Amino acid sequence: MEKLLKVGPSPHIYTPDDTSILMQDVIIALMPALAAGVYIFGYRAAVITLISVLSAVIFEHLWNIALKKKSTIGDLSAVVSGILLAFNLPATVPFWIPLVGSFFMIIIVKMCFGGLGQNFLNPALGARAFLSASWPALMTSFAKPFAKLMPILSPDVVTSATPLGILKEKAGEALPTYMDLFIGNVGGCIGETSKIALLAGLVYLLVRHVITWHTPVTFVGTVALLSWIFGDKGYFSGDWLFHILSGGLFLGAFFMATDYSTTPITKNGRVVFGVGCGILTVIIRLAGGYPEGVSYSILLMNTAFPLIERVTAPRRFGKGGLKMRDYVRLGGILFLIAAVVALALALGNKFTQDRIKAREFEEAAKSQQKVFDGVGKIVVNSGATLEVKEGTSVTSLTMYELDTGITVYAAECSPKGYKSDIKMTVGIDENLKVTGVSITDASGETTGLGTRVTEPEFIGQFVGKTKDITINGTAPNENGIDAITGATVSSKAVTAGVNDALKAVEEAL
Amino acid sequence: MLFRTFKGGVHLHYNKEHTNRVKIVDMPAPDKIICPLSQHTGKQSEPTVKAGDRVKIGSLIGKQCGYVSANQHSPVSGTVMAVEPYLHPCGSMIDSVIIENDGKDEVFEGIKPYGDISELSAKDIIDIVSNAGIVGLGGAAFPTHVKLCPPPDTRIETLIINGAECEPYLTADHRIMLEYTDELMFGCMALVKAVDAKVCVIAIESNKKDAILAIKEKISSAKSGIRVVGLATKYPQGSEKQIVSAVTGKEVPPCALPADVGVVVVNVHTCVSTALAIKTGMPLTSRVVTVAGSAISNPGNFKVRIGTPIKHLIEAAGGFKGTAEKIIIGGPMMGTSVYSLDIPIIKGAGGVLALTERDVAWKTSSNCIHCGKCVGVCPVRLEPVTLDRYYRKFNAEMLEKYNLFDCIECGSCVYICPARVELLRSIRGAKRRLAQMRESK
Repeated sequence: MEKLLKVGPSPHIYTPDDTSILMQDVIIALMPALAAGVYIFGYRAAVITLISVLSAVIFEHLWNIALKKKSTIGDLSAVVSGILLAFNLPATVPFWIPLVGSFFMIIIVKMCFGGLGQNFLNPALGARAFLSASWPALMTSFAKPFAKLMPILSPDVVTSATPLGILKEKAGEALPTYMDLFIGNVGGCIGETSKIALLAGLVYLLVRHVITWHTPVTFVGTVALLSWIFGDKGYFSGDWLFHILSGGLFLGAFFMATDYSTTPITKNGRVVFGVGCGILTVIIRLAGGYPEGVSYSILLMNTAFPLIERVTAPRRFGKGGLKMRDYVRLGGILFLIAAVVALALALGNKFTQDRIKAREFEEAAKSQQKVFDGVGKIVVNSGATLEVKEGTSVTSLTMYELDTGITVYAAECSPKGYKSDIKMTVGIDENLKVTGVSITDASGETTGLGTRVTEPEFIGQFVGKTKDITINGTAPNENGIDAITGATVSSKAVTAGVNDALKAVEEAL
Repeated sequence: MLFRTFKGGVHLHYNKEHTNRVKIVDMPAPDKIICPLSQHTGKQSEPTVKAGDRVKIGSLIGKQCGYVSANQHSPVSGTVMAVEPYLHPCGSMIDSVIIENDGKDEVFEGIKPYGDISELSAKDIIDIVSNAGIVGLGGAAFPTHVKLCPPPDTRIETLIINGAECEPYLTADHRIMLEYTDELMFGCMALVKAVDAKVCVIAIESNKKDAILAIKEKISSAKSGIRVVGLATKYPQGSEKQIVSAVTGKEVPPCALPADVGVVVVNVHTCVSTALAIKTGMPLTSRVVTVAGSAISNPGNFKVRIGTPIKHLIEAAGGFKGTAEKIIIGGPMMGTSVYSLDIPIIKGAGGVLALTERDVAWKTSSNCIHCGKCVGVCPVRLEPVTLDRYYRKFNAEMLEKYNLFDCIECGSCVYICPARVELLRSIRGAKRRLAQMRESK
């Protein structure tokens, strides 16, 4: 015998689908969503994904070198994490954001806990939470769909609210249609907007047996059911289709809540996990401070997965199927999770509500002070909100006492400008005369022309004017102002805003 | 046709197409036969011959010793060379009767047909099975007469004839069903009588459609009350508890026998051997073995004398093609790999496989990625990964809590594991260690 025979314990054959092939399948499943992201948000989305993936792989490799361990980048899990992190970022973020995110994701969340299979939080979501907490403004500046962002971001990028943001803030923008939501023609993170692409990925994962149906189906199903029941003022009338098609639900339910390391291994556990994520998502969306709750709900459930796994151990073979008390137990667990979170949210709201209100007034008063600079200083805690009728560009109206003893009104307006709304504050005294105007955002106006409406020479003209201000034609008018040459639209917009503010105060008195 | 199945399990590459159309070839007896005295589950048989004794085909050479044990008979005529420890498929040396074949094939005088079933009582049939040394030929080699004597207070509803043959490569049972259909029917009838079963079901996996059709045809012409049930092609469909669950929907409780839920399961080859023992009187001295694998030149099924060293089978199948990396006795999922070609075929060996490196390549284990696939495929609903974890930490209490001893060692978890974690090795190690702990108590 020229060659010795090998012996070893049975079984002697093994599936060809090892870890790297499973990860490869996940990457393939993510490709439609990536393509959609690049198509919708431009090449910049591709560049951000590339940075995220490369840095994730490099950080993992460096960690292995530093700790003199065998390289683990061959299992491709770092690539998957990198893509998922990029999918959770807006296309407008600066390039260092995916880099910092990758560092946190790979080093802190993944490798510090022992690498693949050992981490207790979903790496990409952990990094997203870290980035959102550290740079909230950057993480919520979503580009308008089909903005065709080039790798080098131009400063006048047009942003857009996400569908859930519109719903939460009631910001006056029209809600997108179901078709827009399904295709992905809405604002949002790179990978989350196109539902059809994410569904294609899900089908692939299920066909290849990479994941089981339990978590995606129960997660989305729970969100649909609860948003139908509680989504609107009355019961059983919520727009559940809007809720499941908006935000990161599909991305989260298909690719994050099915992450191997941080979700239960048992089938019942996966059902509990999916339902739990669904309950938390709806609670955060409808009652919490954020418009979107998918990522936090998954992170919260991640921390509970070992417990879920323990109480959902499969029933012993030969001891019958699931019995009534098992369903009661599963239901009890879910109820407990929901109750604890609801209680925490309610308590948090209760204790912070007044302080948040006071802070908001203080902040608003600080920024609104400059429109009253000519007449006096706002007395601290003197603010009171007044009601504004619908059908005007005024979004809020506040009444203040000044230290000079007079009552004034500050109106926040957002009249329609050249490309997007101009954001401005108008100060008005008790005689309905303008005390000052300040423009906080004119980024939608033409640079060098329309943006000149922020200059004191222009806005100073409004001081002392009363209602129905006009724009001077050839002959100057007593209650008129001079428009900026070449920026008639922007000038008119600001004038309309001031007029609206005057009208709103008049109506409120 | 709707195919029944159990929950869990894996889909494998079956590789049966090389041998399932090849007729069984009768292989001449070799010059030397090695009959280990332990070819079955239970106590080793007691030798009844010594060196120099003359034996004929069917002569008793090993006597059943205790209740769970089985008789051994000489498969050839010739002279006993020695009774001494010899290589055994299990890997260690086992006492064996080594017989030199004189080539005359003389049959032992006491061998004569037992007559028709109608003239035999249930006890007669069980005695014939016991005397003929018949054991489960599907692989586990559990003495069949023990199976046929359920505890007195149990009532057998269903007799399942197991034709699942869920192990890849193996087609011996498939060929038996096609070529010994009459004997199979006869055997079913005898076994129904032996256990007084109400119904007899022949359960066959869907990848053996020709066998299902052939048997159905026989049944309709004979009006025998035997039924055929198609099973989904899935591993381990042929495992006793799994086939009971697939056919009857009942789950056999832990540490219990199928008889406790009113079922007896007998393999098709065992059933045919029983029929032959009654019809001809000849005890179990030969069986059909599949010789296959990508390192075999002409794979096929061979009817061989028990005790034939596997090198003769490989020669009969045209020898090696390429380099064999592993030689396996049994199937690739539960069979044992052997290191010598002198090892004999025993009663439970349904196959000899020669696999190349490509077939059996094992990549080094990496981190468990916690995918839960092992939990999903486990046919007895264990959490192999959890057992592995508690074995590494060695927590005896938790191992018992997670039902370690329910494991049937089918290997599905190891097959499916993407990180190549040696789950079954941990489980076997844990079983051994816990058993030692129990003994020392």
